[in-house]
Amino acid sequence: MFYSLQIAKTALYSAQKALEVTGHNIANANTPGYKRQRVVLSAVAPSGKDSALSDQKAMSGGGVQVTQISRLTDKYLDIQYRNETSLLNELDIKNYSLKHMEGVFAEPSAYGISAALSEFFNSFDDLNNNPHEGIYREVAVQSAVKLTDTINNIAGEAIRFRQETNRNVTLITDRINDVARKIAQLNDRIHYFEGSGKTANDLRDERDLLIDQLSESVNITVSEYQDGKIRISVGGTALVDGFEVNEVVVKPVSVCSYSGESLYGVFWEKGGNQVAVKSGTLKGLLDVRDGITADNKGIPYFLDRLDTLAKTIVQSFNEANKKGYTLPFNDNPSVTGVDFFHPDMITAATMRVSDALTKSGYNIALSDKEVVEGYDFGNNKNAKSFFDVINSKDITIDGAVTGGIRAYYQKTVSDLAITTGFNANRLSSQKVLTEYIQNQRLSVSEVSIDEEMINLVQFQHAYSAAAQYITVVDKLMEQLMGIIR
Amino acid sequence: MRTTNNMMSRQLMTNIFSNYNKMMKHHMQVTTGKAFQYPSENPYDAIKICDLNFKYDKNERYKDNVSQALGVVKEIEGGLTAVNESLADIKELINQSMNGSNGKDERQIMARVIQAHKENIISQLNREYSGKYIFGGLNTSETPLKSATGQVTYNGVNLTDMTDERFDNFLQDSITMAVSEGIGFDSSFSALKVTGFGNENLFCMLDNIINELNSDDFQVEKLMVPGKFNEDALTSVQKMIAEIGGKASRLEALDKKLSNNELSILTLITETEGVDIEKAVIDFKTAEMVYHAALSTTARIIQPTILDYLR
Repeated sequence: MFYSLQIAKTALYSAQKALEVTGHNIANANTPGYKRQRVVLSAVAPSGKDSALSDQKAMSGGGVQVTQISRLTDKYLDIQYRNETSLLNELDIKNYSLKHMEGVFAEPSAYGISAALSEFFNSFDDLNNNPHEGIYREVAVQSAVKLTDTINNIAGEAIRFRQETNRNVTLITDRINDVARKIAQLNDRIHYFEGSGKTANDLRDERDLLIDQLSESVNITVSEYQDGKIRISVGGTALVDGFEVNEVVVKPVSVCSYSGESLYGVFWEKGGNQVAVKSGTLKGLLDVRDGITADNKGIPYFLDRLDTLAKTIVQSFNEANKKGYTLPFNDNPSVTGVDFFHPDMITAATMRVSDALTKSGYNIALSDKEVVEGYDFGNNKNAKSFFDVINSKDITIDGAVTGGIRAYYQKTVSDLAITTGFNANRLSSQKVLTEYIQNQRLSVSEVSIDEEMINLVQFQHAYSAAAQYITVVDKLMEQLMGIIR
Repeated sequence: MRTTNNMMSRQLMTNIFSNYNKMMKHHMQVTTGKAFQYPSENPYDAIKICDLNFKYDKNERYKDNVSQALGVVKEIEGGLTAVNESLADIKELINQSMNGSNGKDERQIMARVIQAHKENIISQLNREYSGKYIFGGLNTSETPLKSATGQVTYNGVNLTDMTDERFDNFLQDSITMAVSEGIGFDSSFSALKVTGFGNENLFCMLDNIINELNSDDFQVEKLMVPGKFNEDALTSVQKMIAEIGGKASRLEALDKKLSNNELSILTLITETEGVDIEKAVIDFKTAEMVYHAALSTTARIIQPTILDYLR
């Protein structure tokens, strides 16, 4: 009889436990990273053969017991999700950076290089039509200044963005270290907690969330030890191993040829090797900062193209201007071999109009022969040299055919546009994929209020039934006592 | 698949956002009139537009040059016509003087009229167009013809003393404007073509005539000696006017052609860059409808849970 009461007790206890877990689930329905929990029940086997209470042939079980409170998760989906998240974040930062570069170039608009080039080229028409008018010469010089200013600004903006990206590399490594330390601490706590035989569900949730965060920054591989500790490695080297953290540090690896600022590489604090970064925000930042090849078009790639553009403009216009003779003004005679742009400033960030031209537009050499003051007024025959540069389809700079100044610039813009567009497409398809996997994961782990409510009703009924059973047993006992009385 | 409340609301948010983005895109299209904002949205069209803008720019330059050249040519034509009228008058006066029945007073009046015509010719050849002197070759900033102490200078060189070489050099001073792909147009016209140079230059001849008319023993024969009188100078201007008129009509034809080009390039630009407003508005309306539908279904899905049905 008391055995029956014992059974009732286990039933009451487990129903209560199940209600508690349901309550916990509902309470955490909106907690990020929380994975729903379930009580795992099992029947208590009948007690031993020699029990005084057993009748040897038909033994009833001993009620129910809570074996475990498990948390519902799918390790395979976790791995998939983290891999895709790494790639997603890499593409995301690339997309952001390329969009930013696109904004810097500001094409097509009235403020871009394209418009400044047009204005500059057009000024030669006016020069050609009015070789003797000082005003058109000043207008031409001003439009050349506007062109150099525009190219300087855009290159400067791109260089600043490269520095910013470089600094973000340090921020990301700080974040990786921070998360790694937190994970190591949790490893410690989980190890301690589970050492006493319980499962540290909620701490594990917290740790999983941190691992998810880590996978945003860099590609990681996670493996779990028997004792609940985990090892996280990046490219084969452990970042977190149990309680140990091998931090990543930044060290200058090269110097930015544009700004002179040190460019950081990411290294292991212990061992000193370079971290093998394959994806994640970190990879995206490094690619954007260093990409100079055709299959990795980052900031330097476009800066390099701007430099070639600047060099082409400076050298070809200087060559054209050197061929002709200037117009005499004040006490300055007509001379040849004058530079149009400053001959030593041949990068996009530094190019500028030569001192001679800044002094006076009369130094634009339009005449093909020396202009002797008196009844010589200077012709415009050398304007042809400038038009040849403007209309040329194959200007060669550094042994490479650039295909004409305008065409070269247009190709740069289209390069940027196509790269940006391609990346945006990759990003959105990666988003769809990651979201799909995330949904699969949530489908397994996330709390459904409806489901919990149904469970609540179910366990409530189980509890009432168990209570009812106690009443019955109680009545039986009463009757038994009545016989004695 | 097991679906939870949060999954549902997250998915709904994603969907609503994507609807929102669609609406935003069509809204931008309608308000800016452009099919895309950044080249990366449509790289190929963006490059095409760059190309077309360049072509348009070039065409505009040609149009500018043509209208400038046309202005210059019309001005030259006007100047030459006025010169021609003066020369015709002078010719008539000379013919009148030849019949020998004119008295001294009449001849002096004739001489004064010719003097006035001479000054008119100089001022006509010093005509300017938009602040630039058009008969002076490369010298556009000051009057080409200057008359002082009975001598006329062209660009600072005395016409009578001008050497053949200098004359040729002056005639070669030309400003060629680009008026179409590969076509240059020489809009300059030197006054020297009208005046000639050396002893037989137009003004010398007119001075001779004036002097002769003013002299007491006027004899036609004295005037009509070669080296003093050059009848060609009086008639050649007509040929020049015809020539200039031909140039003007060529420029007018070019102008029409360039205007047509401009129109076709603009059409292409609008077709590539511009947005079909009707389509964009209808697209926007459709997106708006979907957005509203999404909102209303969301409201229905999100609101009730089993909680509403317990008890």
